[in-house]
Amino acid sequence: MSDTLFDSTIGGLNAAMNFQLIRQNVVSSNIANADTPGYKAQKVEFEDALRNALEISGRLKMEASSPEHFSKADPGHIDPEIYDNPNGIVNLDGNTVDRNAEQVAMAETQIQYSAASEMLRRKLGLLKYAISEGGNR
Amino acid sequence: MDFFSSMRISATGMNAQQTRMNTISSNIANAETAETEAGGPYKRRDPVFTATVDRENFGEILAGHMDEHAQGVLVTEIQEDTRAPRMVYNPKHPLANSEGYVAMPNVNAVEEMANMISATRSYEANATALNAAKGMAMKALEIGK
Amino acid sequence: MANMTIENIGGFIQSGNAEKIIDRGVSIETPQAPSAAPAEAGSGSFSQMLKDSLDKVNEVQLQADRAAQELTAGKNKNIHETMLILEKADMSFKLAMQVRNKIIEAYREIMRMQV
Repeated sequence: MSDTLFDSTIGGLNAAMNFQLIRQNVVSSNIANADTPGYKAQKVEFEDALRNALEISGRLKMEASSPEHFSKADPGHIDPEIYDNPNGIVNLDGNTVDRNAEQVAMAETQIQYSAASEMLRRKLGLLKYAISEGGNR
Repeated sequence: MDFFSSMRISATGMNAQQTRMNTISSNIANAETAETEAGGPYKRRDPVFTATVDRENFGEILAGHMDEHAQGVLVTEIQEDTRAPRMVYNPKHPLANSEGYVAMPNVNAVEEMANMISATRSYEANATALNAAKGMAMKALEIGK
Repeated sequence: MANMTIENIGGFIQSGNAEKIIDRGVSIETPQAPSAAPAEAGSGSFSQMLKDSLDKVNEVQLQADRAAQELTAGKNKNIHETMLILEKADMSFKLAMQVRNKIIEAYREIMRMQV
């Protein structure tokens, strides 16, 4: 059912929101630890994996022509990459948090999350509109 | 992994900065305290920040599904500054040594002020992060409206 | 025509052109509201499809219930995912309701037919 009524865009938006949530957590952690000696700033990367899963990367995609083939990646089951941010900033105490970059990342995360939420809302709204026969019922 | 853990992390950051602010206040207030209960002049204090893995309850620790990447901050210790006390020439002071010098706290007002600004900014950054998480959570609630 | 049941309608529709539409299996769900069909239906029949779809709708409702419980009990704190599941349950049910309305409408239409 969820495949026909709810398409891959909805799954993709949901996955993107999950990742933005993880990113927000990591950014919060970086900001909270901006004064912690030796703390290494973390970074979350998921866009590439999501692009591949949604098959919009522009690369040749792999076709599953037999049921024995691996099916294409499901946006709901991508693991984001989290790694030490190689931004090259090292404070005297070994801390690598770039406060300004974190503020930027936070704003971006917030906007992307809100945007995904809004798109999801509109997509669902469209389906609802169709179900209610254009609001006749 | 959820907004609540993000908010908890920001709260630990705000707590830590508040503790830092408290020690700064204590340092400034005692900038001229030449005698303490422990003997000798007041020694300036510094909080020691340590990154800790965010965990809300014991269940989460058992389940082991907390994320190692999202870390809160904890003040593990208030350290005394080991720098030598400031020697001020004041022969009339009851605590003056034989050469007329009094050992005054190793507090530098300018340094404390700079620290205070830094603490304020860090506190604000954490508050912003908290608000961002809250805004995102509220936005999630709008799905379907 | 008085004892016309959902199966009959199913057979009626399947005999006509509407078959394709139904077979494309828009995999829509329908609630049990239309008077429960008494006769056992073979697999692949209209009533079987209806029943399967109903089970699916019910499953989504249960899923939504579980998600809501987990959110309130603090087990799962992913707000947007919970909202999405609730919305899916809501919409599956509404769609099922619409399908039910259409079926009843079709049933009435046939009932009114002059034989």
